[in-house]
Amino acid sequence: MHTALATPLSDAALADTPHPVVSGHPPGDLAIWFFICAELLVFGVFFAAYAFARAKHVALFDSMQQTLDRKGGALNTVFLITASYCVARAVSAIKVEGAQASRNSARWMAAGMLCGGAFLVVKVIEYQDKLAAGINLSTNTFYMFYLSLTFFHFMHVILGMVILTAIWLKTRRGGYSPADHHGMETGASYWHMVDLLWIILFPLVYVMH
Amino acid sequence: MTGPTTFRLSAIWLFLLAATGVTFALGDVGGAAGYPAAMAMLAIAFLKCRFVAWDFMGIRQTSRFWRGLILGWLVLVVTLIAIAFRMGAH
Repeated sequence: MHTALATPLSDAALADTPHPVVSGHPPGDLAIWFFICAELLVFGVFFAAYAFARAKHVALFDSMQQTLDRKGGALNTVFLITASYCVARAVSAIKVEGAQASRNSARWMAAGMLCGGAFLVVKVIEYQDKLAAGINLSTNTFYMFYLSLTFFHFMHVILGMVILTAIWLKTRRGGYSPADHHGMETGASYWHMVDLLWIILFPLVYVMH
Repeated sequence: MTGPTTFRLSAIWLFLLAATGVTFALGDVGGAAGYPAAMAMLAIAFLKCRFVAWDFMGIRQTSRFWRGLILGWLVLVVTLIAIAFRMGAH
């Protein structure tokens, strides 16, 4: 026992403990975190650009904001938060030893995908309404920002859905285990980033005035 | 790497939903109270993001570098938005 403690983490020691590694790195592949950081930087610039553009056209931004579907935006926040929660539960479920781990994890992942899909449906309805009203990128500065920001985010949700679908399929096949769920954590990290960005985007564009 | 308990995840999810409701309600506040309400929404968004990053993403268990990087981004973005809204309030 004393020897085992003194020995650096060997393969045997790693195999004996369920969750022994606290490397200091975020969950998932390090490459996805470089991608996440780049995305956060880009969206951060967009958010600041929106806020400073608003400072120059407060009346325009405040009046145009009233034409947005705030209830739809809030509903979409609920969908994305719940999707993120489900994905976190899916990752949590796969870490539990037992025959049901993959099934439980896949169910949580499917629930997350359902919420992500609901977000996309609400957003499409919102875009349809705006297009039917003749609104486009050149309508005014507010709508240029609104359409650019939300559509850029919309594309990220679509990519997130593709990633979640791939993870869900692999989970159903039993492709992840308590010892090996690195890929699931990688995809989950991306999905949480999409949620994180919407949590700022929603109040900024739909509510704050 | 161990993660948060399912109870903690559920509690955070409920908090995030409640905070979304408060943000939505604050949207009806206008006039002179509009700016303080906007800052309150920003503070709520900050808290929500921190919970998502720390507990859902698992940043809580990472090194000081990663925690500082994500928190730094969040503080920077929220501060820039607050400054811009302050400029717009005059």
